[in-house]
Amino acid sequence: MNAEVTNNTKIEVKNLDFYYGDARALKDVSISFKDRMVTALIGPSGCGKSTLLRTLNRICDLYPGHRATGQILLEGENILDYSGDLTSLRAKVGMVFQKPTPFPMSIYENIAFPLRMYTKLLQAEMDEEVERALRGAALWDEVKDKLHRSGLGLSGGQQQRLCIARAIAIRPEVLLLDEPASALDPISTAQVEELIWELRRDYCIVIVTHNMQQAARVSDFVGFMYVGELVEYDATATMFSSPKERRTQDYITGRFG
Amino acid sequence: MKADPSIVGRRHLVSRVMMGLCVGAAAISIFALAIILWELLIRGLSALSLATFLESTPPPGSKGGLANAIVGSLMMTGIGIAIATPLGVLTGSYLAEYARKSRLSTIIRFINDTLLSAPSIVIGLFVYAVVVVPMGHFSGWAGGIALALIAMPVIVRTTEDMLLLVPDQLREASVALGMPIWRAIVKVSWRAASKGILTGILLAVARISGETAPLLFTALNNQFLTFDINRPLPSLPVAIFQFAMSPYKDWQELAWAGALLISASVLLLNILARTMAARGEH
Amino acid sequence: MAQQNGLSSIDDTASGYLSRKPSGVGLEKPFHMLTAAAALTVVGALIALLIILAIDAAPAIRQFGFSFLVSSAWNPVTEMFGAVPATVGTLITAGIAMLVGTPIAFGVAIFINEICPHKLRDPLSIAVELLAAVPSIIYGMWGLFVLAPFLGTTIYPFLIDTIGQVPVIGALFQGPPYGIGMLTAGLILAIMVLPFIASVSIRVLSGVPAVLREAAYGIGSTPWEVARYVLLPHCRKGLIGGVMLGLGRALGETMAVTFVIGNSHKIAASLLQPGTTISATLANEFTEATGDIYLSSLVALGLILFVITFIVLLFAQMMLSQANRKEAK
Repeated sequence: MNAEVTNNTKIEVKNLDFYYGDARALKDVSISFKDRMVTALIGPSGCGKSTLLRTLNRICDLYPGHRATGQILLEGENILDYSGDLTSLRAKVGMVFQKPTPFPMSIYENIAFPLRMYTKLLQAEMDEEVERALRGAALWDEVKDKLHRSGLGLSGGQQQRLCIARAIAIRPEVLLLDEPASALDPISTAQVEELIWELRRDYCIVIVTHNMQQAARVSDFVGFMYVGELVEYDATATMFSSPKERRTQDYITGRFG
Repeated sequence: MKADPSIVGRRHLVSRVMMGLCVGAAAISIFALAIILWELLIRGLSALSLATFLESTPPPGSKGGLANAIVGSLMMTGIGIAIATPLGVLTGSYLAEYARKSRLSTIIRFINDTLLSAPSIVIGLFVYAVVVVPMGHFSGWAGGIALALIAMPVIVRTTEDMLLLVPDQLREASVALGMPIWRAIVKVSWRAASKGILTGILLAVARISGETAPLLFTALNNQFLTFDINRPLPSLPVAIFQFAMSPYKDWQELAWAGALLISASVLLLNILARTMAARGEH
Repeated sequence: MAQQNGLSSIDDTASGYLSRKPSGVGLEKPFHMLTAAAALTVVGALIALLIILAIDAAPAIRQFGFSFLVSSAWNPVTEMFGAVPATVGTLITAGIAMLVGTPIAFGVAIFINEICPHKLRDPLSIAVELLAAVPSIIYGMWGLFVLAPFLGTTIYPFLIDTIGQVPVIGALFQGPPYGIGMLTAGLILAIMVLPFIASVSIRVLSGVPAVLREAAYGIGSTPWEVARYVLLPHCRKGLIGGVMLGLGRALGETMAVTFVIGNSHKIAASLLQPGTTISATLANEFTEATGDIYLSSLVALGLILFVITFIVLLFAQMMLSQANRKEAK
């Protein structure tokens, strides 16, 4: 059992510290994310859950003074040491943000654009890949007749699924979701959650959420973070039924946060 | 996904080349602008002396200064700002306080923005027709009015923008105290936005103190020092134009001195306006 | 009793305040009218400007009719005037300015927003904005004393010997290398509008939401791909608006051009030869013009210039207001 779990580990974070300038946002965090599982990171605002997520594809590198120390092993390779090509790392680790971020181009191009960055495809193959990605994000039926219209014309929920489709189009290994449903209405939220559960079969998924019910619904494992520390990490069912830590219990029962 | 290394490699090459070109563009512009400012500083400083401020523009072949042009510029800029400020502030207030989303205000805003970027020489033609021709002669008044037409849209624009930054609660609170709306505008909105409005006025001064084209056929020029606004008035920009285009070495040097004076004051005014605006935000 | 007293005293004060009208209520309407009147002077100024120019241009229009727009004559002695040389010169110099200035300005904006160290970002943006405020006469003077002699002695002879020999496009680069001329004027204009377009572009690009950039980098885009396919298209309208404002400036600019254009009403095929623009013609000839038809023809040129820039500015403002609306969403 134990052996199987370790084999299954996709990302292993060891003793991770993160600094915004002088402010320490993550304190000695160690956690592992398993393949084909959904791991939810929960905790009050400012606890560092988004920061942790943003180190996993080094999007934090876009800003000066943001610094991570420790180890993040993606299949054994420390991505914090990755000196060369960050773009290929980011292609392996897809990310979806809180607000939908369709690119200013057509629905079709939103998917084809990242594909074209990595492979040469014939038109027919490209069409196929675009359809696959849109089906994968449960969006195909809604947009198949308007593929060449702007992605900005879709509803919020559709835009978010378009972004998920874009992220999975290049077949990443890991999918990072930063509060993907917090800007959506309840129906779109349900669709996105359903989709996450579907995608779980193929990807290692890490989702940041402030919504405890959502974490309980979609995840296999939960990490509870508080002021930069990982307080507790466990299987979702265990975590929500019998948390070990007092702080976890207080948070999930709604006593603070 | 299996990445095709040749595609990935080419993308990185393209990116590096294009970003290199952007760096090149920045370098070229910095270089071009640096040599312009350098030339201005070197030639201007070597031509600048106390006489520049004390003596009037000389006939060709003799030494002199720009005193009459400086005085003329100050007078006409003063007239321009004195006319443009009340008109501009009141118009900006109308747009921001009374007519915020009306159709009329959209039209006024559009017309104001058009005047803001209209060719300044056309403004000169207009003022020539409505001021110079009826008066029968070129004058400082005509120059000042032409400058006012250029300064006004700048002040309208900044006043409106700054008043829109004043929170509505402040207005509501004052009106809820039983203050008439006009007093709320004068006592509360204007006061809250005063630094921003002043910034706009300073920017307008900077803008018109370098304007040449609208003065060419309004104020014309004058070789002598005069404080009579009714007569043709010299100005720094027009003196620079006249002297720089001349074949005389002394005149060309005075033109550089004048150019340095104008640039320095325009840049200083801009910096002053900027620091004021930055302070106003706190 | 005490309570009653208290109440009545409150009533007294209240009625005391209420009986007094707030001061200045009577000025409510006059002040509103005053601001409206000021606003109407702005509208009035533009309308008056158009009417006056039209009236003053009328004699020339009556005299020459439509042929004013298509004639390339410009002869004060025979009093034959046409708008073609100056209008073409205006369009060509502004066109050169845009062709040269826009890509460089975008490069500067991308450099400042995407490449340069964060610490330099604000100082550089401020420097660009300050340069946009430098009076145009400075650029013109520098062009006359520094750029034109340099181009005339080094670059232009080289262009004439190389591209000038190529068939067809060679015609654009022939003749004696005076240094002054259309190309020099276009280049000066390019240097002048560059900081202006760059500062608008920097402002527009810095308004791109951070998540959109992150999403673009997040799928593994290179910096150039982020800029070219995501940032620039996202800001398309704002950028076009900025370029159009720059074009409006280049078209209407007087002083940067007048120094180096050469003021010739002959249309030369070569960009290296002297030409003229509407604004340069006005600056050079208006105060010396004699005769009603001559003056009126100059005003008619001014009217043409105003109409052209008006259309360009209209387009610019449409683009910018749409861009602002999108941002506000």
